[in-house]
This record gives sequence, structure tokens and C-alpha cells, in this order.
Amino acid sequence: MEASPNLTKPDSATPAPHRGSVPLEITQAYLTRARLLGVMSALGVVLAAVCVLAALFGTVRIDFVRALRQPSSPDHAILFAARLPRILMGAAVGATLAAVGAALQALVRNPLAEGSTLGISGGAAFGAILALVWSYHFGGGWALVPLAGFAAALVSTLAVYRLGQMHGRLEPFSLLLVGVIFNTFWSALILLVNSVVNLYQTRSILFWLVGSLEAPTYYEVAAVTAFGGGGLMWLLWHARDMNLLSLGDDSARDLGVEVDRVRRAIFIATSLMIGAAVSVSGMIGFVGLIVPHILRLAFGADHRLLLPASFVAGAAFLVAADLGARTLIAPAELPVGVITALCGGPFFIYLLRREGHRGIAV
Amino acid sequence: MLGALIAVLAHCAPLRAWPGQRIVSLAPSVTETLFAIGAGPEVVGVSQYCDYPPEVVKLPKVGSFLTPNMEAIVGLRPGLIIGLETSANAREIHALQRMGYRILLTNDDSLEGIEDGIRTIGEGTGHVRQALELLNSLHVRMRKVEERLKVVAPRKVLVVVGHNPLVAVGGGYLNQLLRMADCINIAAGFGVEWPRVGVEYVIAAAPEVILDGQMGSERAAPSGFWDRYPVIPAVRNHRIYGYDQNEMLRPGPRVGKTLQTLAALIHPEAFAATPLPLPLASPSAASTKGAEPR
Repeated sequence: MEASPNLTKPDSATPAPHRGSVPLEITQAYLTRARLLGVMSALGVVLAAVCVLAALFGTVRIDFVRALRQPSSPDHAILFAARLPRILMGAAVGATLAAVGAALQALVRNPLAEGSTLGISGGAAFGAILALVWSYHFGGGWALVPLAGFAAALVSTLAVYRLGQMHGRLEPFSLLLVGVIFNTFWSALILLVNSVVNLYQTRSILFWLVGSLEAPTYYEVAAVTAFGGGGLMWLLWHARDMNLLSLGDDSARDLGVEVDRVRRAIFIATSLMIGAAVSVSGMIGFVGLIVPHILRLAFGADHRLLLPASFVAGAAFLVAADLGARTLIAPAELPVGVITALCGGPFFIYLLRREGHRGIAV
Repeated sequence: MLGALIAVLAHCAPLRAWPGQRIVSLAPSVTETLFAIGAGPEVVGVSQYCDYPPEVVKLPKVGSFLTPNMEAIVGLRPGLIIGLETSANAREIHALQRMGYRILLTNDDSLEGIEDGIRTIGEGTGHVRQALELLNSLHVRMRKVEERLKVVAPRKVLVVVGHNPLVAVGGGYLNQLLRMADCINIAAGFGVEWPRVGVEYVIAAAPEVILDGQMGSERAAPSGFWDRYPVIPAVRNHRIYGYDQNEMLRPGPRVGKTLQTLAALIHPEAFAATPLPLPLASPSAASTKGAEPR
């Protein structure tokens, strides 16, 4: 989107904190330690509140006194073996997807970028589905499916990375195109597998396409948290460079950014993060798109704030969406991906209509 | 290419009264019924999901009941096409009807539907006597199982189709079989045939036996999935069994055998030579709170 800077105000070419401030009438100063701490602690409170709510409510009502006092009671098992890992998994996956979205939007300078746009989550889903079919026929432990998903995400990343290079450089536009094509390609492969397996497996395959946080193990939670948290640190290291990248490659280069090296670093970090998230939860859409955009509108586009804020807000958003998935049609459950898309789609259109291109610009 | 040519030829000269009966079946339950009533030799094409009895594997495939392949069906010059009453294939069925083919539709969602289907297919193919014999033996077999179960108390059961998502049997003929097998299906109150149940709900409903199709047909294989929830009575007492989905989840003339399999897995004491004492019901206080099984 080379055109997007031109659509914004002329002074928006200066580093991003100004942007988005006008429509919300918030006077935004440059990022200070106090502002960073203020925003992050506010979001932290929101996340904590959402998590407490998600623990209080669920498919069934539980007695919290018994849950905490009697380790052998069903209430204890519901809280600690079913509800808590799910909340933690929602937080870890949501945080990872949202931070990845913010970073990828800066990487390709395109407001539509998110995990699935670069073909990585499609690859992960395909790997997971192959492993699923394999384990149905030949057996395999529970870890086979996430591991295969993660491996396939890395293979897909390498391919997109190779093919997205033009003249030895990682070009945002070709990267985006190759990614989108790869995602379509993976979807086609998934549908191909879906049409040759037996009737009962098609449901599990649909699960990977919509995404769900059902019945995670604590190992999976730990793995996603490690990749998500580690990836965030890596991205934060390059946050300043990401701010400069939004001025365009040439300007960034003039200001001393090693553009290609930074792009590569962001791409690898985000791939590892998405691979970990998708391999356990399927393709949960819209989190990586909507959370960074809302935060950019509210707090500006300085990635030193945007990345950690997306991380925390993404966690809160997905935990809240999963609370809806568990309770809206209880005792039956909805796939969480349905909730995120149902909330995310209309809200995104609303933002676009209200703020125009200025509001959505990266 | 050849199929298309044949389709065009067939369209030009509709073959309504083909000598000898050439039957195309669009669903596994229909195929099994046809073979069970002695119409097997007349079957010339089956759906891609049909794999029982073994001789159907060699027969030409004509797509599934979800997506019937028109060219393949027409190319087999069928005298009779038998499918299911589902909305998924309505377009194709209409097209075949317009082309003048004789079509029978059955419904295999419920036990009544399955029995009606056997009767309808028997009448439609001229195997009425065998169809009635089949129904009779089915009833005898079911009654024998019910007889055995007179001594047992009902058990709370969950029949899982897959883990991710956790989908269970909630309605349809399988739920009817579970009721006949003296089971309280904890997923029966959801109002849909294949409900998505959450782990929380399963823990609260405390099933005493879990039949898990995800595990394949290995009986009583330890499953890492359930081991995380030892508070569930079925997990604690190692009463989780795998089953063969192709066999168990298929409606048709084998439902009598399915009922017997279910009953023997869930109430083994009724089928042992010397009846075993019943295990005590788990006295978990919260177990009935969330569960309101039918």
C-alpha cells in the first residue's frame, strides 16, 4: 500500500504517535515511560478482569469453595483441569496472534496483514490435518498433531520467504502476494484431504479451519507462551526500526535502518509465533487484524507501545471471545473462531467507515 | 470423457425399462440393506463411502450422498437409484428424476427410518419376503439383548465421535440404541444429533462409561486425552473403550449387532457367564448438577 501515506494528513509522515489522535481527540505526546506504564497497566487490569470472569462462568456452574478446598471434587477438576488451561491457552494464543498482526502490518506496510495473510497459518493447519488423518489410521501421541503443525508452518515460512524475495531483497508487496497465494494453496490442499477422508474426520478438519481452544494440555500452553513471549521480546528489539519502516524503505534506510535484516528478523519471529499458536488452536481469524487496529487508533502507532499493548489486549480479547463460545449456547459449545469473526468483521467495517483510511492506515 | 459421451447418449434415449434390475446405491446404509435382502447381485454402483459387505469395494463408485456424480450414475444405466432424503443432494436427485430414472429415497436417521427403509427397499426391488425376514431377525436380536439387560441398572454413558472438537452422539438411531441398551446418554439433552460438548460438561455429568471413536477399535486402550480428567468415573475406573466408527456409526441392517456391541461394552456383567456384582455408583455430589439427561 504505497498510496496509504498520501491519503493521510501531510504531517502524518512523522513518526506515528500523531496518527489516529485527531478522530479520538486525545492529545498524544511522544512515548514516555509514564505513558507506556499507564497504558500497559490499564490493559493489564482489563486482562485480569476478563480472566476472572472467564474463570467464574462456564458451561456448568461450579462451587468455588469446594473447588478450592477439595482436590478430588468434580468442581476442582472443572476449574483446574478444564477451565483454567483453556483460559491460559486463550490468553497465550490471543496475545501471540495480536502481536504478530501488529508486526506483520508494519513489515509489509499493509493494514490487511495478519498470520493467515502470509500463508503461515494455512501451512500449520495443513500439517496438523495430515497428522490428524495419520494418527487416525496408524496411531500417534497427542503431541503429534501440534508438532506436525509447527513443522509445516516452518516449511511454509521458508517457502514464502524464498519466493517472496526479489533481486535478493524481501519486498513487502511480493511477500504479501506470495503469502496470500500460499494460503489459498494450503486451503485447497486441506479441502483435497477433506474430500478423500471418511465422513467422521471431516469434522476434525473443519475444526482446524475455524479454530478452537478446546481441551488444551498445560504443555501446549507452556509452549505457546514461550514462543509468544520470546517472539514478542525479539519484535520489541526491533520496535524502533518498525516505526521507521512505516516511512518507506528509502527513508528508513537513510535513517540508518538495515531494512532487509530487520524484515528478515520480523518475518522469522512472527513465523515461529504463528506456527506455535496455530498448531494448537487452528486458524482463529480476526484477532491479529482487529486488535492492533483498535490499539493504533487509541494509542497511536509507536511499536514500542503497540506491540506489548497488542499482546495484552489480544489475550483479553480471545479469552472474552472464548467465554462467549463456552456460555452462549451452553451446554453445547461454539467454535471460538466463529465468535471472533462475528465480532471482528462488523466492528472492523464500523472503524473503517468512521475513521476512513486515516483510521486504518498503518 | 467417455462418461460425458454416455451421459449425452443416455439423455437422448432415456433407458426407462432396462432389462434386469440395475441398482445404484447412493449411501452405505442403502447398500448394506440391499445386500442383506439378497439384492446384492443387482447392485451395479455404490457411493464412495460404501465398504460393507466386502464385495462392494470392487463395485464402481458414483460419488457420495452429499455429492453424487451424475455422469457416473447415468453411465451405469441404472434401472433404480436408491438414495437418502437429505437436502444435500436435492439438485442431483431432481435432475435424475427429470431424466426419467426411477428413484427411491429412504431416511436412516432413526430406527423407524431404518426399518421403513428396509421395507421400502424390499418392495422397490421385489425382495419383500427377504426384507420382512431381515426385519424379523433384527427384532429378535434386539429383544434378546433387551432380555439380557433386565438385570442391570442404567448407566451414564458418553459416546464420543472425535476429540477436536469433542463431538458426541446426541440423537438419532444411536441415541435410541443407547436407550434400549439401558444407558443414560449424557449428551442427549442438547437437542441436536451430533452435539459439541465441552470437557466441563463431561466432568459435571460424570459418565460411568465412555465409548471413544477417536481411539479407533483398540479396546480399553489408554487415552492421553482422558487421563487428564481422572475425576470422571469412566476414567477413574478404566471404563473407556474405543470402537470402530465405520461399524458403530453406520445406520442400516447391522443396528442389531451395534446394539449388542453397545450393550456388551456398557453392561459386561449381563453378558458374562456368571453375573458380576454391579460396581457401586460414584457418590459425586456435583455429578447431577449440570447434567439433565433425557
